Amino acid sequence: MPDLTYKKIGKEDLMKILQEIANEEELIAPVEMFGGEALFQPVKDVNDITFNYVNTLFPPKQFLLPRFEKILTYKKEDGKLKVEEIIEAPKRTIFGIRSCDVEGIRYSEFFYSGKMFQREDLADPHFMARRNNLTIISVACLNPAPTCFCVCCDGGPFLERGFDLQLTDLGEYWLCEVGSEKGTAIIEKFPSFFIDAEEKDIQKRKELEDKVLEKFGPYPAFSGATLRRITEGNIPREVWESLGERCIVCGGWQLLCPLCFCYTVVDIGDENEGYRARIWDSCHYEGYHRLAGGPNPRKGRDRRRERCIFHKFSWQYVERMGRHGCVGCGRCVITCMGYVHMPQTVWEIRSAFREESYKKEAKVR
Amino acid sequence: MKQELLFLPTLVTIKEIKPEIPAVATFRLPKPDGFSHKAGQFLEVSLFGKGEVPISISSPPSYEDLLLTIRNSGYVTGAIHKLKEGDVLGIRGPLGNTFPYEEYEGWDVIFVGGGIGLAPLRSLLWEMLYHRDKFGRILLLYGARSPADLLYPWQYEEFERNGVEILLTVDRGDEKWTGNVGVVTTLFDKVKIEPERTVAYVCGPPIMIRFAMRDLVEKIGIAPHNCIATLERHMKCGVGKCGHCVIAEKYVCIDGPVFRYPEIKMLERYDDPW
Ligand SMILES: Cc1cc2nc3c(=O)[nH]c(=O)nc-3n(C[C@H](O)[C@H](O)[C@H](O)COP(=O)(O)OP(=O)(O)OC[C@H]3O[C@@H](n4cnc5c(N)ncnc54)[C@H](O)[C@@H]3O)c2cc1C
Ligand code: SF4
Ligand code: FES
Repeated sequence: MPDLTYKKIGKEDLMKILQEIANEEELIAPVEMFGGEALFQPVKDVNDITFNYVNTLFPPKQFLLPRFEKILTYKKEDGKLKVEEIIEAPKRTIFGIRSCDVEGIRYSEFFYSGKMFQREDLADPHFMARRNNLTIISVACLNPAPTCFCVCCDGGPFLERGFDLQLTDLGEYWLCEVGSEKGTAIIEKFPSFFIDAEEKDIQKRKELEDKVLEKFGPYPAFSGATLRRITEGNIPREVWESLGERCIVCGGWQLLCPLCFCYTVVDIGDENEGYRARIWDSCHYEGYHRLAGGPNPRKGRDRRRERCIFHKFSWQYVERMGRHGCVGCGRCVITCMGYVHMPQTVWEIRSAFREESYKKEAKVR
Repeated sequence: MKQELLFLPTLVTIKEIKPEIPAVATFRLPKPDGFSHKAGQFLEVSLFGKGEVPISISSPPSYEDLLLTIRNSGYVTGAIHKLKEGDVLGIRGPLGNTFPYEEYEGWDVIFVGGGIGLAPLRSLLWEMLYHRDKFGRILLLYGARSPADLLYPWQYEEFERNGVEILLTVDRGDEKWTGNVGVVTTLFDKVKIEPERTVAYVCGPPIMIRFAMRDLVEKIGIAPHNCIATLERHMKCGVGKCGHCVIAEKYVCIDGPVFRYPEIKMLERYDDPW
């Protein structure tokens, strides 16, 4: 574990500093919505924050890449066209975000900053401005849901990087791990609230982490084996066809996966006045892949499943992005109606090979 | 490109529109201050209210203006075709990688084009003609659907004067056509080259690139590494953000559009680059 500064803060005191933050800038935190789902919302009064959630229905990615975002406006004035790029990046702190979603932010930042291509000169000014203005106070998970599998995906339940402050519930206190300069700045801003953590607090956190690891449910993703097979590129066509057949192309992955971030661009307006916007888009849709003039290299649903999984689970991407494209939040497990969510896909790829090798063995005998 | 200007197009006034073949016209645009590109790169061309499309730069880097040869093939390009000289377009770029060619000085060069695919090749062809003494033979093998669809016919004579050997073919001839009929790969039987010192540049419809590359390697014997093509994908951002242009793990807008044959063959294992 890298050297981290450990502090602790009383539960009441944390609410006080959160209220201070909410007064000064935008505080984003989980709020209980109709139906009992928790969702990340801007919060003015910290009493609205809920602590009764394993994870939110949607990851908070819209605060970095909004579902719909105006990127520039244009207007004709006296026959002359004026175009302006709009960058909206309010100062924000997000509280209560889980480890998997923090890891999701780190992943998308690696892409949007241009680091993936070693082209930081092509960093996305909109995304990066919002990222630079965002402070992350994450809360480690002590009670994973049955659908969670972050342990298999290097996405939690505790993190070692990516957060500014990571909190662990020690009963009366929150243990705070300081992960960055932004985290240090919070500690320094409210010096009277934070006290140094003792060795036994740190010990307790480690014990808690060990305990959580035992609580994970039945959805492991055998990433190692699957990664290898996708990378070899020889998965039987029937596997994709079977997955494609069941996929109902809801595009839900784009809405709820913390690691999906494709978009499309539209112009709205006439030749005199209007704006250009970008909108979330999904590789599950047929139109996403259609080329000019009509041909479509990924017309079949099987091709689109294959494309999506290649992005998430191939060594080619791991090599470029530093990790594979699933953090094990389990959202697609909950939502997928075609039963082609990530652990299922991974399982089917693996079983196909198992059956294959059984067949081979049978032949030898 | 400055980072804060990543999505902000530079406004340019169309200097000239030259109709080429049916549904294709060449737009002459001034170069914005400080603009410089290399052969193979493209621009994102904006028509505000309609959208943005990637278009290859068809003029060589040392030419004073930018020439874009655009085919009317849909929503945005259709609207661009309705513009007049003096109207305003936005451009972002240059984007994408470039044709490797300096390493091939002293070699023979073979260009294989199909349809509008001649447009991106033209930039490199002219760049080589500006430095004609640095290259050996230059061949242009070009095919189109019909004689009327052959792009830049007004320039063939100038190409030939600069020592380009041109071979044309059409899918369907007309009563005046006396040349070759058939797909562009049928021209391969008619050329004699030394494959070990020849580099090939290919652009055209995906199916044509696929067969041309295969035959260049298997029939003519050019090393796969020296067979170079530009690919086309649907693009929304041009700068590696939107995800639309991806083939396996390669983003055509940043890692491409120019790829060598072994790279494309590798992508073929995981995806459909054609
Ligand atoms: C690197 C590169 C260089 C290029 N160079 C040139 C060049 O030099 N000259 C040239 O003429 N062309 C060139 N092209 C091709 C050119 O970019 C396309 O012809 C152009 O994008 C077509 O745009 P359009 O809006 O007119 O076509 P459309 O077909 O109307 O639409 C463009 C895209 O929108 C999407 N779309 C359309 N309808 C729908 C729908 N109902 N739902 C969802 N999606 C939809 C499609 O995916 C389509 O690809 C190049 C392309 C690339 C990638
Ligand atoms: S693929 Fe599914 S489990 Fe993995 S991060 Fe995305 S939504 Fe969560
Ligand atoms: S065009 Fe957007 S990623 Fe390449």
